Amino acid sequence: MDKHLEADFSLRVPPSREASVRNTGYAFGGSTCGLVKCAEKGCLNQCDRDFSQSTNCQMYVSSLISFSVKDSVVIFHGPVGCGAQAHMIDYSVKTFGARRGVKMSGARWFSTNLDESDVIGGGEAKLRQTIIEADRRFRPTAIFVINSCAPAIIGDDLDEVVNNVQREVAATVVPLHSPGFKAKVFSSAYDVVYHGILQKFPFVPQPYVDYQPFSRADRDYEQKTREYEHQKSRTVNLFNAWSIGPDDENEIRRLFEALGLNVRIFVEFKEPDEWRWLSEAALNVCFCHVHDLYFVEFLKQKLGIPYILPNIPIGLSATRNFVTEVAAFFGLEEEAEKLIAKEEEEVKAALAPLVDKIRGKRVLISGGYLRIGATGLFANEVGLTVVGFRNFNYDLFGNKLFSEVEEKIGDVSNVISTQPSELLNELRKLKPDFAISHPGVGVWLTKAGVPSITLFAQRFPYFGYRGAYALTRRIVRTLANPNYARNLAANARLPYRQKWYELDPYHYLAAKPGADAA
Amino acid sequence: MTYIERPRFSCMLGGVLATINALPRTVPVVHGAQGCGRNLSSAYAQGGYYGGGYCNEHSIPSSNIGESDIIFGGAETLTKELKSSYEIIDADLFVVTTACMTDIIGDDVKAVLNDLPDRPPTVFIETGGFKGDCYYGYRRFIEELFRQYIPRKEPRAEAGTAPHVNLLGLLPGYDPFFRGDLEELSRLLGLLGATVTTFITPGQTLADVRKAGAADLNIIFNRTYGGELGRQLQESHGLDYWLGDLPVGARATSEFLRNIAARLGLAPEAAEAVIRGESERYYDYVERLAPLVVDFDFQNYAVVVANSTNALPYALYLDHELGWLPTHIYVTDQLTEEQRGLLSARFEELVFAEKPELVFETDAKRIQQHLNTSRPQFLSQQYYERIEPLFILGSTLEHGFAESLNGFHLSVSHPVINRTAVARGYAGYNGGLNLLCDLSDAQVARRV
Repeated sequence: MDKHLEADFSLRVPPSREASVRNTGYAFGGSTCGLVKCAEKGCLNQCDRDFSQSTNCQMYVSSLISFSVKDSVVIFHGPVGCGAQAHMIDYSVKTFGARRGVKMSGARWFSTNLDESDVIGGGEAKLRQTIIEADRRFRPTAIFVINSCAPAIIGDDLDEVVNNVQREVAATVVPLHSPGFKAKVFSSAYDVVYHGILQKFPFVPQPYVDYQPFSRADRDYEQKTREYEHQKSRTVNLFNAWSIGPDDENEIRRLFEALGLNVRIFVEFKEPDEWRWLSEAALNVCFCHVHDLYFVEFLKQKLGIPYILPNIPIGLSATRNFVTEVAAFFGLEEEAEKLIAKEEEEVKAALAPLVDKIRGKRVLISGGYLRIGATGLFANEVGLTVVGFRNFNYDLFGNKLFSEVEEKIGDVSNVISTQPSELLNELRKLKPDFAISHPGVGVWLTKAGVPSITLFAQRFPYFGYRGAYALTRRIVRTLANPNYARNLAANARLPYRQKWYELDPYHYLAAKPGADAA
Repeated sequence: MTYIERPRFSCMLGGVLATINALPRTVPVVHGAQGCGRNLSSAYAQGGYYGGGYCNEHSIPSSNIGESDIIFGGAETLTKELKSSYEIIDADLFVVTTACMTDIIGDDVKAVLNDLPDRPPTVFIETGGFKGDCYYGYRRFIEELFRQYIPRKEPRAEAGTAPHVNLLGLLPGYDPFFRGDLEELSRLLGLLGATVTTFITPGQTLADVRKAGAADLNIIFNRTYGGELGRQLQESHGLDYWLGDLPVGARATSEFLRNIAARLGLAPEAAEAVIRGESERYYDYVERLAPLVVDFDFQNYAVVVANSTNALPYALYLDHELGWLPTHIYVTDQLTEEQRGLLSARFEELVFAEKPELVFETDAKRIQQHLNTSRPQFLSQQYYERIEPLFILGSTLEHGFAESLNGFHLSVSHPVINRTAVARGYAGYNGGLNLLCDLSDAQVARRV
């Protein structure tokens, strides 16, 4: 039985993950066994650092889902720097929307451009004007208002502004309470975004708008109703995320459809109006539940749709588990077994010549915990030696996966860190041949001479059998010629003194004030 | 100031971090929330993928203050961060910056630094994002760098030494071609016999930076914040300054070299020899392209969308060098009335074949609306006057717009997402050739 999340959806603002019952940790140095035990005991979130480095914040991460919602406009409420990097997301929203057959308008966004006088006098009037202009200019379905640090500290009342202005605009305005300082665990952003979404949108289709109800006068009424209910009982909702590419969605859809299931994918690359079909399914499953657990728990409480939490479908064994767990819910175990056997046979034959080229190579894996754990299991399957895991953050919901990781791979280095300093220090001890790492991490590895593959790249498949093959090809390609990393390492300098490499990588980890010393 | 759709600049801290990332062996320590350093690094990277650097993005030391620091003050957190940074970061200069939240709660950073008397060289600047934009951040940071780190000029060294100039007014990432521009202008000033401090090009050292206080002249390529920068450095270090347009192409560059040679008291003949040699080479290349330009009628109407540093220089190049007809110049940074006046005054002095319209607009969609509505297009059923053939020199944001007008497009201003800058520059003679090449490339790219 999967663990469920306790959450109070009536709160005005959801707590950050480190402050919530999840007790998510963001600083840990150790190994898999210790990580899993600490998460179990609830003592993971007792550390911070005496030396910290900049990293993602929930304000910007909140924009990822917001931009990927079809027909949305994003407003960054803050000074002009908050959101200033959003130009870069424009092409990916358009490109990967098109690859899904969805025409996206690209990144449409405003900054409320708060200045010194706003910080003194309040930014609410400016926010109100911006919402009205965003509505008039684009006539979007949804306007996501992303709060930043400055207005949160001066006390702008986001909800008040949104509620007041709602009467004057056609779009649904969604307040997202995501000032960066409020969460060190930046994946808190997903809870913030879903909290906004679940407050503002209905998830049940409207008769005569979304569908034509069957007429009771129709002599086939009961037959039609039964057929509809049957289809609904064979329908599964899947939840995507910005890091999940069109090929990933297609691969899992392909497998489930082969089992005779109907598949609907939410919430990105859909218009909010389409979210109303969320209720018409028998089961909710997240591709990667680090993102959507908060939302599927809400849908369970609100609409009574159950969810299960299989681990992300990366590599052969995790994909097998993912498909099997969903199939089991629908009583399709036998069909699933046949499908999996056939798929595995085919992909193993394709992998065989590749596996010979990479066997025994040492790999370090860095990024979000589900993705890296499953990637590690796959690396192990194709004969790589996994020397370590580096989680952005970690909590109890990773234990199902990492217990399996510990069992299959052993008690290797397993840390929680976003800091390149710790990574580069540990690199000297782990000595990987290459790494698979989240964007933003790989550049530091490459500069240290370790070639790195991105842990997600929406233009390549990563999930399922086709993803396993594509990832292996990327590994073979990367290892075939490491000259770029060698050249960079020989010529680029890293910003740490020799002294740092003589210290423990987690030298600066320190107990939080008030943390239990045990 | 009002809201902006898709602004092309970031905040004060963003400008300061962009500049620090280009300085040799200099590392910032951000006193702020965890996202500021990382996010603003990604922002300046949008200037032609200027994303690497010695200690940027996820590596930037940052106090990563949380909610309790906001309530109880973050000075203690900063102290820890600074001590650790000094221990393990390999830098010759540290710059402590603040951010919105720490400025609002009023952490006393000076007191923190005073309690660390044995610290390595450290410059401190308050950089709350709400205090201004990245250009303001650049100006204020250069001023503080001079005040806190660069020694004042010694009494005049022996006569006959090479003149020394500093190049200022180009902001990394937001002036995407700053490195190529500065390297080319450095090369040319070197041919005049001058020693040049660019601060932010490859090969500069902090020793070069510290010599900047003894320069004979600050050359500043921005007319909106540049004058204030020049005056501040005159006050703090007694440095003369020359304020002018970034010279793009042969005519502008020849005039620039004459002006600077005169300001430095150099023999005009020597400057003329350099100009002659460079111009001959330049026009040899220009001439080779003439069959393409002439036979295919590569003269365009042009729209320039750029910041106050680059907008006029690019328009001048198109008019003076290529004989194109700039119709509109959109200046995209957020300027005060006084700053607009400074740029307008310069614009009025300039001679164009046909005078374009100068428009101040920061908002992405309003630039398009303005261009679409400012010209009567339909004269009758059969005849209508469109801006055609059209070439838009702007940012990547204008790409789709140019396409919708059946025009050509080249990304030259921030954000530059659809090409990379690397060592490319548009200033000087070589820069003029680069721009000719890129403008022509855009027009022949469809010949496949």
